[in-house]
This record gives sequence, structure tokens and C-alpha cells, in this order.
Amino acid sequence: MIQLENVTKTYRTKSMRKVVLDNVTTNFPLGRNVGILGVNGAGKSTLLRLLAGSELADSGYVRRRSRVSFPLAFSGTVHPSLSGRENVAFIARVYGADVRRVIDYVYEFSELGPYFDMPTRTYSSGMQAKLAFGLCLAIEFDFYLIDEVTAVGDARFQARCKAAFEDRMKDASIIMVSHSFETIRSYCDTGALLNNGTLHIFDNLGEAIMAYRSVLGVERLVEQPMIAHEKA
Amino acid sequence: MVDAPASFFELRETLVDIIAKVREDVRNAPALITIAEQFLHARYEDQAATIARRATEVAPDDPRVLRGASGILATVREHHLCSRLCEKAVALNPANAELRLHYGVILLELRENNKAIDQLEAHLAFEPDSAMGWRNISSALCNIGEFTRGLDAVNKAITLTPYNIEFRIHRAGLENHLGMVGEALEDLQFAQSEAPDNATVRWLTSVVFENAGDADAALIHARAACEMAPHNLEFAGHHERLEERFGRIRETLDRLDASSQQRAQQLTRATLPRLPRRKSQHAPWVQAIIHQNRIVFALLLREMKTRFGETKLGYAWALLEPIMHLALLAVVFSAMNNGQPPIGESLLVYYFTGVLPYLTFSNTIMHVQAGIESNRNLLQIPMVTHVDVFFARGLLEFLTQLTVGIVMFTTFFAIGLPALPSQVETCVLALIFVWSFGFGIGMFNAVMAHFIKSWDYLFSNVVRALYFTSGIFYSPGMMPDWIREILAWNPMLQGIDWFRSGFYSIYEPNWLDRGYVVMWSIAMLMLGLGMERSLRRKLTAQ
Repeated sequence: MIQLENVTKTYRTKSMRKVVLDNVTTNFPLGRNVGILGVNGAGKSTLLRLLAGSELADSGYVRRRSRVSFPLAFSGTVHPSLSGRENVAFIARVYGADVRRVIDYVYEFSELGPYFDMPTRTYSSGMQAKLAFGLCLAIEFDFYLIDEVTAVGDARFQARCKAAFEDRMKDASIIMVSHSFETIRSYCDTGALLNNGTLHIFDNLGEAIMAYRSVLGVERLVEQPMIAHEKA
Repeated sequence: MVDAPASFFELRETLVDIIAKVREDVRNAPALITIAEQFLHARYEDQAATIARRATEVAPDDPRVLRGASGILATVREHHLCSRLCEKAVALNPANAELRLHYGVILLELRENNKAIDQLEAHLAFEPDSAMGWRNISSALCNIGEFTRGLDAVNKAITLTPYNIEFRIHRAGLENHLGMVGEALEDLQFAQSEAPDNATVRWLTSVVFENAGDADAALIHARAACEMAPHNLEFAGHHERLEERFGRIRETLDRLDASSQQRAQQLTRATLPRLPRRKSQHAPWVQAIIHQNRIVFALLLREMKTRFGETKLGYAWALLEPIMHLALLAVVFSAMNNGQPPIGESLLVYYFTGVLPYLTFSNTIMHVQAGIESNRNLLQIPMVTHVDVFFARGLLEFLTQLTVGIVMFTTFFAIGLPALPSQVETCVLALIFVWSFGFGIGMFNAVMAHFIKSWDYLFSNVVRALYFTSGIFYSPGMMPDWIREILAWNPMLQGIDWFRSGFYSIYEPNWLDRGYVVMWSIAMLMLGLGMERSLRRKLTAQ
């Protein structure tokens, strides 16, 4: 479980302060796969980094009673001049995992072949994503934090990811940020809405998506020309 | 199925005619089928079915009779019997496209989807432009989970018959299932404009909007569907569920809008269940040390691999740097000083006793202060903290300089220079404090550089100034007293003299104060670590 206790987080853009979380207290329970919804700039990625511990709150506490992954983001955490193998070994060492086992797993999962021993700056974005996914999956976490990366790679790779995550999800949970409802539907069973510094975790995904759409308000999915909207 | 008779009179004429035929020959099956059809048309379904059955008994091998009987029996939902009749008929007349379509639909009713697909495919092979064929095969494909193929099929059907409302409803349902919400709504809009009073269209529109998360629109259409078909239980149930759900969401949103003060009161810390912690055989603080060592070690290996990039010489550059530094000094100053060192016998060794502590100091600063900036990616890993990175970089620098020292002094000794230190432990101790002095400054600089972009450049001037005032290539003993008294405040000069006091047995300058160096190094360590700790939250911000 990840507990947020009176967490406040703001970040500064060039002109203004943006509030991501305003004194939020909530729990991400183990066993629920949560899709985080929110308008652009609401701070979804910041929230993920906060949950991971890559970024610290302005005030309040984030308590992790489980092993939480690093945010699996597209940019990744790899060093460009090290090979895939060396990067994997590094992360495995940091997390105290069996280095050889992790390397074997990632080598097999990523299907990079000879590229596995080339510097990662020679990788295409698809290859980087394969490496990052393999690496994240190779280490046993209780929570996997995923930031908008599932759209990467070809259909076959996406299917592999889905299958691998399903396998992991038997005893681990996912917290993900994605703009695609389809992706969120296929991975998550519940949703959280991040809006104006509030964070609410819904009981089921449908309600979260409906709440999200209500928050969006004017941005209707499809305009209905032939009936006037009499507002409820 | 049967053309509507134009008038009662005409109907009577037909029936009289047929009944006459049957009277002549009770085994005239086609005539029996026609009678059955008329009965069906007059809504005497049971009688129609009985006569149709009788016809199949009379002529079990006439495909046209079998087809006619099957059509009648299908309306009274005798699908199993129909399926048997059709199977027989198809065997007798395999090239009849219409028969295949009928059989396919019967199989679809019986949920024998794969068989239905076979029959419908056969039908479409004969008549590729059969909209009904495409429409039905779409259903069969969807039933076996082949949604994309099902969508292709119904697309063809709609191309052939663009104004069929039922086709549109079917496609919208399928598109909704596949998550193609926009397309589904387009179809439903079309259907609604063609058939404004169709409750099913409104109901499905509501379902699609609900699926898309547009609660307002979903409710409007659900209400419309219920008004159009007030007795449909499914529509009513859907509407009720939607109202209930929407109410709950509104409630939640309203609660979220309430003041943050209220939210803070939701603090449930005492009631949270505690997960069992992972078993560990060590005490927490031992665990923490193991943990930190592991990370620093991993970082150290990574730094070694990346510091010198992918150059062929790699780590050997670490050795080459002081050698080149020394070579330059030796060439310049041996020319000026006539080769006589202030202490000892070798100018080269004398320079090196100054260069080694200075490089330990300045290289540590340089690498530690770049720690945060050059490891942005790495620090995304929550396990890796700033202090871990500082330690790894600082430690690597210390080990590098220690190795450089050992290699260089060994080399000097090998070529016959007097390069044996008199007190190794004093030399190492001096090196440790000079290093930790630089390490503290490096951490301080790393934090400062995060907030003041030009800090690195400003501070590099300080380091450069220290190079000339730390007695690397001269001895403070050569200076006038008043200059030396000022220079003695320089902790690096003190550090280098500390190192030399251990190296040369005869060297024990009266201005040397080792405690002063220790004080500086502890102060800088505390300042560096304290700055990191107090500004940590700001340092992690993206």
C-alpha cells in the first residue's frame, strides 16, 4: 500500500505556481490497478514520481509499505553510453536483485539481440522502451508505476507487455497514467481523478471516467447536432 | 415470405384452386406448403406448422418443399427441426444461394456459429452483393469473438444498403464494443435521423455515451428511450442504474470541492491495516547500511565505466592526467630553479608531493559538484539519493588518486629516485582530510549550482587561485615571513605541507597546524551534507 498523508505538492512554471496536490490524504491499496485521470497539466506524471519517491512533496508524507518501482517513463533511466546489459546490471544491483537472472530475463524479453551489448544511445525509441519495460518487469515490485508508455512499440510487443504485466499482476498492482481510455481500460480496474489539487480514488473505472468527463465539461467527446442539450 | 393477397376474393380463388389440387393428389407437397403459407399468413401458426410437417413427410427429397417447410417452421421457432430440413435440402441442392442464407440464419439462431459461418460464406460465394449475407455473417463472427472481421462484414452490408437502420444499430453496438466511440455515435446519429422514434437507437446511444464517460448525454438518451418504450424493462433498468450512478458521481465531485480542511480530517492513519513487512534477518540500521553500500557500489562501477566514456584507454586516463601535469611542471620549473628542490633531492618527487593532494582536492570538487546535474536520469530511480551519488563519485576520486599516488611513487622508485615516504600513515591521513575537505565543498557546490547557474564558473576561479597559493611548486619556507603568515590561512597549503611532513622525515614546518585542516574538512562536510538535507525537496523538483 502507498499512503499519502497531508501531501502538498506544487511546482513552478515560468509564470505561476501550479498546485498538483493540496493537502491530500488517501491510500493506493495493493491489489487495485489504478488508472490516473486528469486534464493536461494537472500533474499526473508528477504524482507518479511522488509515489515512486523520485520527487519529494513540499509537505506531508508519502509512505510506502510495499516495493514501488521507479516511474517507467519513456525517457527511461538509462545511461546513453552504457550498453543495455550494463544498464540492466546497474539497476539490478541497486535493487539488490540477482544480477544474472535479471539480465537473462531482460535479454529474452526485450529481444534486442546483439544490440543488448551496444550503447543505449544507438537504440531507437522502440528499443529503449523494450529495454525499460523488460528492466521494470524483471524486478519484483508490488507496485508498477507506468507513465504513458504502453503505446510504444509494435502490436506484437504491446501484446507481450500486456501478457507479462498480466503475469506480474497476479501479485502486484499497477498505477498508470495514460491519455488512452482504451489502454487504461485494458490494464486497470479502477480509476483516480486528479483535479485542482484533489485526488480521489473511485471504486470502479467507469465512475472515474464519467467523473473525469464531467470535469472536462465543455470538451464533449462528440457534439450532438440534432438534439439540444437540456442540462440535467 | 408470402406476397400479401390483393383481396379476400383473390385469396379465396387461390385457396380453392390449391385445395382442388390437393384433393386430386394428397401427396402434392408443394401445394401443401402453399396452404401452410396461407395459414401462416392468416396467423394460424400451429395449423401452418402441422401442414408443413406433413409436406416434409410426403416429399422428404424435394429441396424446395424442405426449404418452404423450414421457412414456416422457423416462425414457430422449431429451429432444430429447421436445421435438419435445411441440412438435407443443402445436400440435395448445394448450389442454391438463398437456401444457404436461410440455413445460415437458422444456425445462427441455434448459436452454431461456426457452421453458420460456413453456410453464409457459401452463400456469399454465390452472391457477393448480398447485404443480408454480410449482415448475418457479421453476427456469427462477433459471436465467436472475431470482432474486427465482424466489423468488416457489416461495413460491406452497409455499403450495399446504406439506409438500413438495423444494420446501423448492429454496427454501432460492435464499434462501441471495440472502443470506437466516435464511429458508433456517428452511426447512431444517422439511425436517429432516419428513425427518430426508434427507442433501441436512443437506448444504444445512451449505452455508448455511458461507455465514453459522458454521463449527461447518457442520461438524456436513456430518458428518451424510456419515454418511447415505457414498457421495456431493459431500457428502464438501464436508466435507473444510470441515474443512481450519476447521483453518486455528483456527490463525490461535490465532496471533492469541499474545503481542504475537511479533507485533512479524513486522516485514517490509526485505522489502516498494516501489511506484513518483508522478512529481514538484520536490524533496520544494519539493513540501511547494506542497502547504502549496495547502491554506492553499483554507482561506483557505473561511474568507472562512464567517466572516460568509450575511449580506448578508458580508465588509464585517470593516470595520464597527473603524469602530464607533472611533466609540464618539471619542464617549466627545472629550467628556472636549476633543478634544485626546496626539500629532498628530486624536483620531480617534490612537485608530485604537492600535485597529488591538490588533484585529490580539486578533482573531487569537480566530480562531486557535477553529481546532480549529470545524473538527472539516474536520480529518477527512487532508491538512488543525492548523497549516494556524491559518495560514489567522491569515493571513486579518492581511490583513483590513491592508485595514482602508488603507481607514481613506485615508478619514481623504479627509476632510481628517492620516492619512499618516511611515514605512509601520515601521508594517507593527510590525503583523507584533503579529500573530505574537497568532498564537502563539492557537495556544497552541487547544491549551489542547482540554484545559481554560474556557480561552477565562479568557484573554478577559487580553485585556480588555490593552485598558485598552496605551495605546490614552491615551499612556504622560501617566502618572506609576512606573505607566509597570510598564505598559512589557506587550508590547502596546510594540507599539502601535512602530506610533505609525512613524506620527508626532515620536514616539520613551524606554521603547520593539522587541526586547522581537520576543522575545515569537518566544517565543509557538515555544510555540504546540511545543504543537501535542507534543500532536498527543492533539488528533486523537475
